[in-house]
Amino acid sequence: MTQTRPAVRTTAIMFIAVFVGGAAGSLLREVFSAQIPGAPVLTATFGINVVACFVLGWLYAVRNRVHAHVLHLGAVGFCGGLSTFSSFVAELERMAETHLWSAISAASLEVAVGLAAAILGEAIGRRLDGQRSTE
Amino acid sequence: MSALYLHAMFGLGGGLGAVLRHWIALRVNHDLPLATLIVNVLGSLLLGLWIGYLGGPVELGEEERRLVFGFCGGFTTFSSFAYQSLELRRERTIALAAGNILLSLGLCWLALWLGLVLTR
Repeated sequence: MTQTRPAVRTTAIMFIAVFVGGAAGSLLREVFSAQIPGAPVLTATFGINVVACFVLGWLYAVRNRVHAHVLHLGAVGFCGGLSTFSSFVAELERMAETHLWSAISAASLEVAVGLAAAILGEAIGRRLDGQRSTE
Repeated sequence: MSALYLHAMFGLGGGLGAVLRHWIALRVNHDLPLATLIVNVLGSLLLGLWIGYLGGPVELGEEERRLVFGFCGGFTTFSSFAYQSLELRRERTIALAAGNILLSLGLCWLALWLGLVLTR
């Protein structure tokens, strides 16, 4: 009984961190979506998803140096809450109703830019982390 | 109803969605990113159902709308999908990475469409 307690506490903190990060990320997305005008293809969701990919790449670059709960809060919670797949496909569906090829192009573009953002975030995170460890 | 309260409902939905996503990720222990695929497909289906449902004659408060929209966004994730695709390319094969991307897009699109059709 006493041995399971620390595990229960760790699990509780983990889920609280995921909840807080997810709520904060979602809230930020909602507020920004309302503020960013957005073009037909370059929607607010597009931009926010790309930012989330960048931040996630950065966090994973330093994953071995930070506490697990930081990843639960930042990567699983915040980046997961900030980015969305459901609104992404909902926008594509709306686009596809009139222009199927625009929707397919927009999907390809968003995935490509998202991957590039994750690579860039990871590269910057690694570089800064490398500088810090050699100082 | 204050704007702050509505934002809080959206945030609450997002937080709950993130918790459920993580719970599923811990249970679906697979070397392929199946958990992310599952949550994205389920979340897209739910969003389709919700958009279709709200398109009909419903009397629903703004807070319920926000709660579910927030949940769908917090539950699904684009960033993990992108990062896991990169990892598949790096640690496995480019075919698996491309497969993950095409399957995610195709199935989520289909799920959303299905949700819209079912509630239309």
